[in-house]
Formats: sequence, structure tokens, C-alpha cells
Amino acid sequence: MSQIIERVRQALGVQAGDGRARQVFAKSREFLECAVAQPSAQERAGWMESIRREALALKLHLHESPDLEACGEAVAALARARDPEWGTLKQIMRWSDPILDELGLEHRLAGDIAVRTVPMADSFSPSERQEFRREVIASYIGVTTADYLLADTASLALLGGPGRTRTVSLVPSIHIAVVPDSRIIASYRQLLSLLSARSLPSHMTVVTGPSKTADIEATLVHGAHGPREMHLFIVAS
Amino acid sequence: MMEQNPLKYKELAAKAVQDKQLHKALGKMRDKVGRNAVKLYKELPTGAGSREAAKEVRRKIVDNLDVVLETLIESIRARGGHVHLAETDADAVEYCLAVAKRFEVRRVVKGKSMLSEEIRLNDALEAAGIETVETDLGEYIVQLKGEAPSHIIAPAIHYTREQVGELFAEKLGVPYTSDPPTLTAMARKALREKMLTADMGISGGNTACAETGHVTIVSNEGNIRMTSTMPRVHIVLLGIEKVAATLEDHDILLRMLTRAAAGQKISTYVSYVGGPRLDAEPDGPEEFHLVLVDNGRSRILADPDFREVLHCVRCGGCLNVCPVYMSIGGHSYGSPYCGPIGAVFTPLTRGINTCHHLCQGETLCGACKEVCPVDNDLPRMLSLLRSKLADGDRRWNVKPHSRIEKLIFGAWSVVMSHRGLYDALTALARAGQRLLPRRNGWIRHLPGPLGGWTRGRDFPPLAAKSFAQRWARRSTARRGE
Amino acid sequence: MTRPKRVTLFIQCIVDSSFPEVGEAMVKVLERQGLVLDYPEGQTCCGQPAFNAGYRVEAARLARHYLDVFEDAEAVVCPSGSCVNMVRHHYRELFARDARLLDRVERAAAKTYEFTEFLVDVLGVTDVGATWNGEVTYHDSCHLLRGLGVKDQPRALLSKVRGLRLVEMTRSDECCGFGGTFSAKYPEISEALLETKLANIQATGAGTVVGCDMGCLMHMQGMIRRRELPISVRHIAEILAGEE
Repeated sequence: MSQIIERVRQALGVQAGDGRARQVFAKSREFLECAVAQPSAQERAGWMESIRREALALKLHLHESPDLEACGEAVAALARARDPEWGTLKQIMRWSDPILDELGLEHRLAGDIAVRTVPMADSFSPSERQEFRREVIASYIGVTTADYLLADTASLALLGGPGRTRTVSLVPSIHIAVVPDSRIIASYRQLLSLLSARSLPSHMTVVTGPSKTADIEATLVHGAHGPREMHLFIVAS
Repeated sequence: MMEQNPLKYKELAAKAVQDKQLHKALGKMRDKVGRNAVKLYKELPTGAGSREAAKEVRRKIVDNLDVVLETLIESIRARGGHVHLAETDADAVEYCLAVAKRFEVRRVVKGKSMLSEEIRLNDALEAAGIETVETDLGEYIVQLKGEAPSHIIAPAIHYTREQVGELFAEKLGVPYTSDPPTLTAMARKALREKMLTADMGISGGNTACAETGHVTIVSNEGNIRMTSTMPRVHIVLLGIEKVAATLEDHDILLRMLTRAAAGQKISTYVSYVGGPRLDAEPDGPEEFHLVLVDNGRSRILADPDFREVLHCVRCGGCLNVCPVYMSIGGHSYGSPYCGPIGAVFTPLTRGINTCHHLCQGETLCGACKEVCPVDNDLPRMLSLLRSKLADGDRRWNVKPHSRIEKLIFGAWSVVMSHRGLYDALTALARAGQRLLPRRNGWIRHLPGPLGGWTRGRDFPPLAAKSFAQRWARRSTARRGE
Repeated sequence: MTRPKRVTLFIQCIVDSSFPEVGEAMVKVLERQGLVLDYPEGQTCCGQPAFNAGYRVEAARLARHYLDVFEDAEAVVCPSGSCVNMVRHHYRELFARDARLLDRVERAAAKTYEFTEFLVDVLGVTDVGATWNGEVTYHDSCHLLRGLGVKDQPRALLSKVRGLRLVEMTRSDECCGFGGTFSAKYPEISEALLETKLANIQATGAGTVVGCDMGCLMHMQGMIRRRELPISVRHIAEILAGEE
């Protein structure tokens, strides 16, 4: 294994431990500072404009909610209005997250649509994992929040971790994300800067609109393998 | 799968130039993405200097590849991921097969990976009795057809919607349609089943972040997320050169990549994966493997003249503006890497003599360099490859391609460096050209190696008096006045 | 550079041997600008055909010849973008290890100009007093455009020609498929590119295609003649010399 690294060194004509690492991993001050940049009110206003514009182009359905109460009602109405793509069962899987708890989807949809939450535990047995997998696959809607919402591209940054599993935003046909407007940041660059300053989980995904493909005659079609429909609820804080 | 042979370039290209369907399909890629990428680069904060900025980042990484790789390996292992450095294609394939065997894998789902084409992984998996399913829609189409991808980013771009419709009707037993949304929905259904039941996922990667220990994979379809999430084990294949040092590097590299590849500001999904699931996570793969493949890359790294080609981010942008690629399609190149980048990379990894057509079969028009998000000077490297073919090269183990051509150019250069000889030879040719068939003054047929020109084009005759002769006469006349 | 009084002509091999009228048209335009012209008799070829085919030893022989012939010239003007691109950009690749020659190469690179770039950038002229009646379309030659960055100069000159209307074609900057020896080695591919180019020319409805490089222009003309297409081909010097 180290043979290949050694061959790379020979090819480059360099020595191990010759102090290049510092320069290679150096970050610009501008990049580091962009994490903590404080936006002006005017910039913030521009962000919403940008998200609206991008969402339209992406076929990302944007909903602006005054509070979590109204948002919960709107999500419930959306769930009632949609039909499952695979089979007939109407079931929702959601992240385990305080914001999503407050939506009150369970009682709003009680009796009509089952709302399940990603289980929390220190570890899972193989049968528990199988069970969870079946439930996600059986769900036609996945509800998540997002760690950040990027204004310049209307992208969601989803960081993995307990209760925040990757399949929820992927396997169901419809992905609904509920994001407080306080989580809006300027750009992908700012996201990377923020991420540089913290310890990271083993998986993160930046999601920008519903799944799509242009593999047949470069013609854009939505709904390739990921969610074919995506809704973003921005909740005023 | 279809045999790929770069020695058949001329022959395959001659057929492909007749293929109107192909040109129609490729023309869409040219018109929709093509050189529009350049306008999109300028929207970045780096503005008109974006290509140079991205190039500088790639140069920093490649020039310090040892440091970047060591850090990446350390960070991924720290998170419980496995890393294997494969020296050759066979080594990489063997590693994947060993993992598959340990997990008793029966079905593999694949995310798009040109590197897996390079190491011919699918053939090896199938030979081991493992069902291997490509999940990228374009890759799925070419796999159903039993072909290789014809474009780095859009593997099935050589097909029209009607051809895809016929293929699906035949292979999937669905009613014929030429409607792309309906066809996509059919593939979505067929592949969902595969992705939810596979034991192993194998994908490529677009880059990796050494410092944080993640492989970065972009996709629009979501198939790569499926591949990396649903099966018990996920393997990522990555060329040793495709890594990055920091998240700051990612900013410009990914933004340039998606603009160059698809005219997008950002892909639908940018996934960062760098380890197996946690105990506290109910989903995700049990094991995560990163296979870093050399397969000739360190040899390129050692030659400063060609190191630049390792800056490539595999966006496929050079294909979309190349008039040669647009006329002959990807299959003519006989290599997974086609178009201008393939014409440089493939000879350096598979042998310059074997790939002499790839080195010589372009016009050096420079459109590829102009669109390249990392400003790769592919025409410079093509020209240099030709010089190795002309004179042979010990470092790259190249034999002179044509002794006769060498003699002709040698003699020509001697003649041309003596005006007297040049004039004498021109006079001789002027007399000789009377023997050649003409129409309306131009020559219809040329002998020998120039005959290729007159296959479909007339050739200009030598003028009765050269410019030099006319100038001399004019000067004499003026002196006489 | 400042406006020179004397200009040295570099009439590259194909214009010298097959299209002398193009060289003479350039002479006419330059003389109308009040310039005194020199023509060193020893000149032949810049070496580009050998260079592009990979024969660098042979190309270097001609590069040295060029450096000798034009050693004393103040400014060299040539009716070809690709020959100037060879001198300006590729000579230094040939002599990368020879500091003394590199110095001469840099001097040659700095004083060798393509015809239209010389008129517009050095002389500061766009109206050369020409008249030419009809519609033309302009082909951007690859090395002129991407090597020398000359795109607007020919268009500026054409825009001032009385009676002339420029109609842009689709992808005017796409290669015509010439590529030196490529055109004879890979005729099928070369012709395919050329067919696309000619179709784009014909789609403009302009009866004439104008360019700055006889390599591309003789290539186009080769197929136009073979197929008897109703397109005429002109080097820009012929237009600017006011000849119809």
C-alpha cells in the first residue's frame, strides 16, 4: 500500500515530512471568515428572492409558513392530497427532530395516515434494521428538516446522525423539508466554511430540488431514482 | 460487453460520420451544454479567472498528491472506513471481488464510474456469477444494449428517444413509447427493485476531501445515493489523482464541475460519504471501502510534460465542444475515456503506439482547451504525443510510428530551409501537375499519401508564378521606371 | 508597438506557391497605408505542418530558418493566423532548452503579426477604403481565434467595407476540419467537419465566405469545387483590397 504513496513521491521528486502539508491544507482568511459573516437586512431580503427564483427553476415547490402550526397544517393537507406511487398504503416517515415534533403531524393525520418517526437507540439489532428499512420503503412521503438552507441555489444541507437517517430524504417518492428561516445561509461556499469549523458525520448530502435526469436526448425529466416531488417549507422564526 | 480497440478508430469513425441519428443526438448535447459552460464559469465570484483559479487548486493537489492521499486515508480509517490502494486494474478488481465474496454478494448495483469501465469491473463481477446492474439511466441503457458508454457524463447520448423506446420494449417487455418521461418512469420502476435488493453498491467518486475524510459524489438522479445507502456494503472507486485537500478546494472544483458537465450551478445531490453507518443509525452500509486506483497514473505524474492531464475533473465538457467527437461519437475511440481528454489520457495509460490514432486523429482546433474548467492544454499534449510517435521515446516506450513519414518530413524540411531548393522543387511539381486530372483548374486526384485529400475534395494547383516571382518582376519593373 | 514605417512581408508557403494573388492583395492594402514593404527572398515556411504532425526536429530546422530570414525585420506581417501562432507560441516549445535561441524566438514572437491584427491593433485602422458589394459570412480560423485571440479585428475591418454586409453563421468558430496532414490522414472525419461547416455557411444565405487563413479557405474551396456548391471563397485581404 505505502508502495504507491512512495511511487507518487518519487514521481513528484519530493520527500515525506518535508513540511508541505501546512501549505496544502492552508485555507484563505476570506474562506474562514465567510462562516461567521453577518448578513445585512438587505442581504437577507435578497436571500428569499433568490430561493424563490431558484426553486421555480428547479421544480422545487416552495411554501412560506408564518409558524410551525400553519406549516403542520399545510404539510398534513399536502399528505392527504397526494397518492402513493408504489402500492396504496399512505404512510409517512420523518426524522426524529424537535422541529418536526412541533408540526403535530401525528394527531393532524390520526386515523388517516400513519406517521412514523426514525427510531432512536444506541444500537439496532439486525431485525430492527430490517424493520426500519421496510417502513421507509413503505412510506410515500419522507419529512426532514435541514441543517442549512443555501440561498444562492435553494439547496438543503442534510448532515447525518442518529434520528436523521439518509433514507428518509431518498427512498419515499415525495420529500418534504421543513426549515426555519434562521437556517438560511448565503451560499455553498459559506456552507463549506461552516462545515470546516466543525466535526462532521460520515455522511452529508446537499439536495437541490427533486431527482432528475437528462440521459435521453439531453431532455430534462424529473423523478429518476430519488424523490420525484420535493417541497420546501420555510418557517418564519 | 463490446470489445474496445483504439486501433479501430479510423474504421469506426468512418462509419460513425455517416450516422445521422448519432449527430442529431450529439448535437443536442453540444447546443444545450457545449460552450455555454464558459458563460456559467464567469458567474462565479472568481469571474473570468475561474478556470485559472480551479487550475491552481488542481495543480496544488496534484503536485502534493502524496500528502493529500495520506491524509485522506488516515481520515477515512479513523471513521472506520476501509481504504485500499490498488496498483493495477487487476488489483482493484481482485479487491472488489474479495469484498463481494466475504459478503456473499449476489447482486451489485452500480453508480456511474468511468474508472470501473477502465478496470473492466463489470465483466469480472459477472464472471464471478454476480448480477451487476448499472443504475444511472444512461449507463442502464447502454448496459441493456450490451455496449460501452459513449460519453463521460451522458453514456447513452448517442441514442435517440426512439431507439431507447425500442430497446426498453425489447428488454423490459414494456409497451413501446418514445416519450422520455415515460421511459424514465419505466427505468425508475425496474431499477428501484434492483437497488432495494442489492447486497453491494459500487460507485465512482468525483473528488474526495482529505482533511475531513469524505468522498464527494454528485448526481442528479439519486441512483448514487441509493447505491451508497441501501446495500450492506458500499465501495467507491477513485483514481488516485481525483482527490482534494480541503473543503475550500471543493468550493471551486464542484462549482466548475457541474457547470462544465451539465450547465448546472449545482447537481441535485452532492453526497459526502466517508464511513460506515454508526451503531445508532438504523440505516446505511455496514462497511465502506474506498479503492484508490493508480493503474498508470503515477507514471503520468512523473512526467512534467503530461502531469497536467491529471488535473482533469472528468466533466466531459471537452467532448461537448469537440467537432471531431461530435462527428464520430464516443465509441470510435475504443476506450472508456473518449473525446479530447480520452485522446490524451488513453495513450498514456494504454500505450502510445497502440493508441496512435487517438494521438493523430484530431485537428488541434483548441476548442477543448477553451472550455476546460481547469484549463487543461489538451492540444499541447496531443501535439507532444505526436512528437513521441514521430521520433520514438524511451521513457514512454514508444517506437517511431512511420519511418517513411519521418523521411518525407526530413527531406521536406531540408528543401524548405533552402529557398533555391524549394523553388526548384516547386518548378518540378508545377511541370508534374499537368499530368494530374483537373476540373475547372483544380486537381481531382492526388497520388500517394495526399490521396486522402482528393477523396472528397479538389486540391488547388500551383500557380504559374509564385508570389516571390511576381514580387521580383514587380521590383525589376519599378527599378526600370 | 508604435506605428512602423517599414514592414516585412512573410508570405507563407501555400500563398506563395498556390495563392499569390492573396499575397498581392495584402501588399495593396498595406501600401495604401503608406508603408514601405520588404520581402526577404529566402523565406519559405514557418514549419507548422511538421510541428503539428509531431516532427519537431524538422519543424525546428524551419524555425531556425525563419529566425535567420527575419532577424533584422522591424515588423513582420503575414496573411495567416496559424503561421503567426506557430511563430508566436510554438517556437518556444521547440527551443525550450536553448537560452540563446529562446531570446531570438521571443524577439520574433513579439514582432510577427497576423494581417488583420496588424491593421487594427498596430496601425489603428479599420476603414481601409475598400468597396465590395454583397453579403459575406466570416469563418473564425482556430489558431487565429484561440491562439492569437483575434476575433473582433477582421469583423471591424469588414464592417467598414462599403457595400458589404456581414451575416454571422452558426458556430463560426468551429473548426472546418483542415488540421494540416490530418485532412489527408483522416479524410472521413475531416470531410464530416467540413460538411457541417459548409452547411452552416450555406444557411446564412450569403454567397461568400471570408477568412484570414488560406489553409481553412482552400480546404473549404476543395469541397465547394468538388460538389459545385454556390459559395465563393475569399481571403480577407482580397476583400480589403477592394477587388471583386
